[in-house]
Amino acid sequence: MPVLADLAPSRQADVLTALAAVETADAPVAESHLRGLLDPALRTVVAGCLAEAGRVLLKVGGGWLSGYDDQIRERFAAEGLGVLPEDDRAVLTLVLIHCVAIPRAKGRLRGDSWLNAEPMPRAELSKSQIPENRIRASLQRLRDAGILGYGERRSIRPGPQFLRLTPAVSEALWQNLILLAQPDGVLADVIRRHRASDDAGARDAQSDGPTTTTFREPTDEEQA
Amino acid sequence: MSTGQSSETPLALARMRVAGSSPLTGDRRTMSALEAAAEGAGRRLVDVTTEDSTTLEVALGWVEGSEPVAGGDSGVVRVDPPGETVLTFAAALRACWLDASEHPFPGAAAGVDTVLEARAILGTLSGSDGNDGRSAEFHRKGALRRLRAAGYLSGTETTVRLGPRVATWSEGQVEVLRAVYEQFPVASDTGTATDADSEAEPDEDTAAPDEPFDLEVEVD
Repeated sequence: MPVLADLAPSRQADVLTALAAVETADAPVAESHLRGLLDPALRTVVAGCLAEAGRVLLKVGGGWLSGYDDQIRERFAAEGLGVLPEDDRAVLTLVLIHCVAIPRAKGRLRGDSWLNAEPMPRAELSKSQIPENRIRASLQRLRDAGILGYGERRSIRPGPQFLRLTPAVSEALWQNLILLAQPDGVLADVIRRHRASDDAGARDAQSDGPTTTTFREPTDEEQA
Repeated sequence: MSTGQSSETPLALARMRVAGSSPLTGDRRTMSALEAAAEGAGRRLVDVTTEDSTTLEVALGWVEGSEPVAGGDSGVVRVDPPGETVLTFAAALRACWLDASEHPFPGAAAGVDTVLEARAILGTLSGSDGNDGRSAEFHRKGALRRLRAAGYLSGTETTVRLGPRVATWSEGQVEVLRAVYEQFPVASDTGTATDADSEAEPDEDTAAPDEPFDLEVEVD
């Protein structure tokens, strides 16, 4: 597999341009714009460069972006690196519940992207137990970080950073919302059982990474 | 992923991205290994050590000539940073960058009051509170805090210094700003290269969030 140094200078430039694009864009980068993404061989080199820095190439929303490698992310989270402060986690959870979880549960949204979300009025957050000044500070930090974005009339919605979640993280986040919002439901039960067996399997096999299972609503047969 | 690849250097490089910079502990071999890894990742290892650092600090920069671009037909869309953030940064940058012939980093320390005075020269943004001086100052101090969190500035509530993100600017990016150096706002008590004050207070260690609002300097 070719690496960056093996390429001719002009192809190296194509790869580096694509690298800078996927690492810094706020929206998926369409491959039609960049040879480094359009050409599969060059795209493989881009992915290789990202891997050298603990990053991965993500196909998202009709284009490409980068994200953290799952194992590296887990390692950092265990160290507390890159973990949001508690207030920010609370505000973000409330936003995701209002903007994504509830509309999806009511069938108003497809579950294809975190950015496919209903904007949440600012006043809705004031109904929570978090003091106003701390909500304000959290919102500012989350918006600055691109984790939240602005909707119409200063309403709140998930921000561009959600595009950079790997499928495993996205799935885990969705599962966490289900466990939070419907802890006694059938789906929550399935999630807990799968996580328990994943943990046991990981201990037995001493595997390196998480086991990802996609969750769906149980069929009528399974529920009976 | 190539076989036999150590997981240590990807972890080290990723750590620089999350934290803005990383302390470099170890010997010359560690530095060489990281430089080689950065090269393989299409990036550049940058020394962002300041006189207040207890160890060498390194960060990831872009390869000269391949700096990020956005807008136009680049295919890259980026959210514009808030206007106040940009103007406040301009004032802070000039206050710390006393010798235009040099790279701005590490530069000099500047008092927050000096930076705010320079910022005030640019006037208020349209749509913001016009005559309420306290409100403007509140927003500008907020901008300074955000710039610190993003790694463009470091320092304390009273002192401003340039942060590791500025250290990663390539010569091409610096040249873009050098061309408009005379247009930056300057407070009356800002020094020049000949009488730069090297006193500094310890940096507040703030972790930079993952790629926040972007003040990347675009090279034509």
